Amino acid sequence: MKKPLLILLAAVAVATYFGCYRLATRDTRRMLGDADSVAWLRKEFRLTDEQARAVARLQAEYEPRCMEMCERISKSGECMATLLQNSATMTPELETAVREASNTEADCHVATLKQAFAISAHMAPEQAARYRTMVVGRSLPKPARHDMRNHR
Amino acid sequence: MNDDPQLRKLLQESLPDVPVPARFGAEVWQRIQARAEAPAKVAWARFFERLLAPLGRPAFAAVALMLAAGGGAAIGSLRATGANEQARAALVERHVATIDPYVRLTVAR
Repeated sequence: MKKPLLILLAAVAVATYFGCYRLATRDTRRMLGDADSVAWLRKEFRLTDEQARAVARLQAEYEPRCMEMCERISKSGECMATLLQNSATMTPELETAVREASNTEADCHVATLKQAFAISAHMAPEQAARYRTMVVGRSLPKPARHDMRNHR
Repeated sequence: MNDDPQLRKLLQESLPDVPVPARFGAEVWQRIQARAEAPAKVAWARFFERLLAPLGRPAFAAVALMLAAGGGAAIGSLRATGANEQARAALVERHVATIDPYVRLTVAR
């Protein structure tokens, strides 16, 4: 009499556990599986359809620029690695490569921040502030990021 | 407890004259040992028996069912909160990778 009841209790506990877990994680699981990153922005920052379309357009326009910067970073890194391997002292070529890498980094950060601000401009003011706190802080160079956290 | 020759004679006469199996003595001792170990098992079973005894009553069974459902739901929700936090961090990172080439290269590595 008690054994079937115990099995039923265990089954109910397991079923409600999985039911609640799957129900509560449904949205995030769907968004993680979705390749479209604007879907997450739309939900997280409560974008209207029009805002979401504008952000999607911005992202599509920015994509080639981002790829180009990735290529610049890779080339700059490779160039510096080669020069460092072949140099025992500071050479003019190495100095140029270091300056080039710094310029690339600065250009990338500027472009990233421009894009982040452009995206946040399409959001409601309170959501835009939240977006900037969440995203811009991750995109800054390390010392600036440290300062920003300290000044929060 | 003096040795009583009459009693001894009576006992010897009363024993049935049947052949005893070869391992009779050993088997008897095995049974005695098994009985001696049994009470521990019984106590364990008795504890559960007492614990589950109220489940025989429909009202207690219903309460246990509700507790099982509530417990499962609570633990499921708690685990989901943690999983959602992790997923949210991954989604933020994924978005940042769409605008920050450094993050994109780090993620791609």
